[in-house]
Amino acid sequence: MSYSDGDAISKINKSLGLYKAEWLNEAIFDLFNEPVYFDELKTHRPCLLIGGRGTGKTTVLRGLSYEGQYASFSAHKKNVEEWPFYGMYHRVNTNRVTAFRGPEIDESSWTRYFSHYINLTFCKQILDFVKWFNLIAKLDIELNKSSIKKICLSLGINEVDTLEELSEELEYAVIDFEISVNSIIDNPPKNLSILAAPIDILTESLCSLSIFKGKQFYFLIDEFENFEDYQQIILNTIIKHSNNYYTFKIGVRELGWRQRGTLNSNESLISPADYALISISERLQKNNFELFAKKVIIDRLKKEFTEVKNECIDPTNLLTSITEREEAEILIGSEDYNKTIESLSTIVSKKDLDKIRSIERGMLGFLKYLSPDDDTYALKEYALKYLKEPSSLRNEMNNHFYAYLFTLKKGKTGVRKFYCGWDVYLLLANGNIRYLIELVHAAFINHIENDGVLFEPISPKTQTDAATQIGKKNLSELEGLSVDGAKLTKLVLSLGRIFQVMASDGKGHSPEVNQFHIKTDSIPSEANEAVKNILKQAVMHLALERTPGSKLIQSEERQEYDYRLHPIFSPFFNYSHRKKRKFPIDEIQFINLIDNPAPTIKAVLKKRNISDDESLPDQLNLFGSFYAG
Amino acid sequence: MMRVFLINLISLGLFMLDNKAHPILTSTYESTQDFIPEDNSIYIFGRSGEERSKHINSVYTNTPNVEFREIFAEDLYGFTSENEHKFYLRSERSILDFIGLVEINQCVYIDITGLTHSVWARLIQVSLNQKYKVRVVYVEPDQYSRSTAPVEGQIYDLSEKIQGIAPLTGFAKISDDSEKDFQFIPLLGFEGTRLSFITEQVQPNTENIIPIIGTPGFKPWYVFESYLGNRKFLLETEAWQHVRYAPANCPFSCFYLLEEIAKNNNARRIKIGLIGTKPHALGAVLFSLASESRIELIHDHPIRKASRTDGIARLMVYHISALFDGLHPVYTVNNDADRIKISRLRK
Repeated sequence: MSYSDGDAISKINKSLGLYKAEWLNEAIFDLFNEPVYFDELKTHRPCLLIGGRGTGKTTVLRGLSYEGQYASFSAHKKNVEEWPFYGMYHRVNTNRVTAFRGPEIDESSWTRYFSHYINLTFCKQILDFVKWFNLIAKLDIELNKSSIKKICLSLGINEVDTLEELSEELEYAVIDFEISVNSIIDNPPKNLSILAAPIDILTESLCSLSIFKGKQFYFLIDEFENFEDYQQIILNTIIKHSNNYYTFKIGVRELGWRQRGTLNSNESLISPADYALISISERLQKNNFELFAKKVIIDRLKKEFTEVKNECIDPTNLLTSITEREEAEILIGSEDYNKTIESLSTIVSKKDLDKIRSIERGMLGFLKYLSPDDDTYALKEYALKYLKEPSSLRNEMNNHFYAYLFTLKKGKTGVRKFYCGWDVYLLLANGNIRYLIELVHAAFINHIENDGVLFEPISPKTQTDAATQIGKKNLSELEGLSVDGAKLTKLVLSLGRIFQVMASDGKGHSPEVNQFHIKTDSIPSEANEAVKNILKQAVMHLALERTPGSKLIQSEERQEYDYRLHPIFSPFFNYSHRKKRKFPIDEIQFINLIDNPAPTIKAVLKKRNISDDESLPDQLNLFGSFYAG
Repeated sequence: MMRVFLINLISLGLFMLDNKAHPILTSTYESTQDFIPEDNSIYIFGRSGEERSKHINSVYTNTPNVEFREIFAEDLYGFTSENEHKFYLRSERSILDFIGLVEINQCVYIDITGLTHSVWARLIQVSLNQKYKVRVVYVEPDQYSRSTAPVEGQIYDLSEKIQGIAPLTGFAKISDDSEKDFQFIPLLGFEGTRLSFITEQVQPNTENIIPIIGTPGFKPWYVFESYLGNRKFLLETEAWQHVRYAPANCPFSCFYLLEEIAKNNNARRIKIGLIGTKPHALGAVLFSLASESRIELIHDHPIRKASRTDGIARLMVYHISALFDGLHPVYTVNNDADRIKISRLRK
């Protein structure tokens, strides 16, 4: 079946365009694919799911919710009475939790108020679940009066007789509490409940009913980072002390869990004793991520293109890749090639020159790249060596050929480097499913808009343009992600330019430098704190990726972590997306990359004997004024 | 010279609420010098450092019979008075203490020009709860400083511009937030990055977004600045298809429009992003006080800069109490009170 361009674009947008779980609403459950770690979350223990924006935390937590489980189970498993757990999804809403702060009252009072809020909110969620359960299972679950009385007493609300009345009374209590919070000085909340006590009683009472015997309630808390610090401590306390009838599954960004302590100053939350830590990026290492990502893409496309066969929409087939050698052939200009041949003609025999002419253009360019100072005699030696035994240059090829590709279009307009193929897209996304869907989506749309036929292979150029576009999109989104977004944007622009110039000027330097580590002063300073804060923000919002440092280079250097720009930005700047070599940067310079970018970029490059006078790649011209200083 | 300003924008009728049947309870003064507060009134104000908030100097000199209450050192939770006495927004008593004794029919002017949202919104809420005769004064700037709508490639520094998302003090909503079916109505300004930041937190369903743009704006071309500044958001969410308009300086038009949107969409919950003009924010605040739906106001608390605007244009006085007092509407388009039904006493 063929589709008009308009139809195809609209279907692609529908299947791949909605890449934020938040945008999908009910469709989220239809499109849900279980990642490898999904079963690890279905345990009786608290779990902490750590992952950056777009790694699928929301999707997974909503998938665990009772609504999600119900939607994803096939009809015969819809027997809700048999489920081992019931999850309740709760996103931490900044506009709610920031209501519980202010200088008028002290933190211990806020702690009591917020604990009460948590009790009200979580009890209400359980009661909402019971309502839903009754509806689905066509039951009328009820607790005995004594249990309900205990719950009412512990919540400090009017006594009622039934769960339905309890739910209603709870709503009134929340409204009352809201009024108190808004006039906390004149009208401080009364009858505050003790942290977790009502939740304990309610869950225990429910689990004593035969229908819920042996079952567990999950509180699925998303965006844990949105809690204020003191609020995280309150939550930690319940996580540590929750009874057997309920547990917590927490979704949080890397570094978003700022407080490990509990309200008991001698206790803190420790993994694995108190909770299981699941880091999405660790669990979705290359193979796992590839399988998961492929399934997500195919399943989503299948929803809209039902009659198309799986192999026709397999992204590994559609996203064609090219070899490094092929890429060099495309990127090398005939002018450069002709010049090389001309200079060789002055020092080699005609016979040898004819032989040299048989070497691929891109390969000859590489041999020239290897020759120190572009020395023609050295080039001649390399060429003859290569002609005699191509494999003799295997090491050079392995170490330098990829880096060489970045130098071919130095200072020129148009595509400077290709980013194409499923494998490259996987590396650019770096375990982030949202980024991968964005990339594939943009590639499809660009392909159709460039008169490509739907589900026919997408050209390397189109894929490269799509990757550049997504890099730019994510760069421009940074400034709105956090209050410090502008700093992160500037940091990415500065680092991106440094890596780009290093890449295009790679000859004679270590190849593929795309990581850095921070040299710290031994004495704690203001810069020290500022750097820490920026690095933390940058990692949390996916501007940077950090990995535990490899080796100690010098004693004064802090080797805790190495950093690199998230590879999603590499096509926008044109440097290698592969995690390779690193260079040191000192704290002051790091801060100045944000505060005083132009001279700092120059200085960082100068230290490595590289000049930054190379013109900006086309796509960076947009930020011309930033780079001009 | 004083006249009742009636805005009629039938030509934009498709997107804009037809205000013929709604009272625009506004007195407009072409020059701030023309405005003289009622005798024996109370006049609450602050000075932001912007040129336009200096209009108060002329009010001061022209009106000896007015009790002035100046607000200093505002923050999210309170402010200080002239003698550095601290007043707390989360205490109605504290605010009433600041306003002082108000006699029956004594008019309380709240000049929002130089005050932050959290302070003026709470002052209005408390005054209306007391059934005071409240009038809100607002002075339009002559112009916003250039490049308020950041173009692509410019980096917009939120940390210099906002304090972060937190409820307007006194307007916090804490009821359960698990449902997704809310309507998100951002009142757009020029600064798209602020909108992105708010959207990132609110996470609305893209189908349920109805942006409101202020037009006519203080200058005719401001509508384009709004589109330019918010272009990315409008395209990405496709919300450009649902944009509605209300005059930038008219809280009542914004109020009625919100009312209409709430009614037409049958939305049980509405979240309103306060990014645009103060009169629009005022419309939203009044709507949240009057409405029976669950209204949540989302604000990022901008940090005010003295150089943000320049000059002084018109001065408006909004007779907001009339919205809450069906017996004595101050100004109406016609006097058919039954048809207009402007009584919106807080339940």
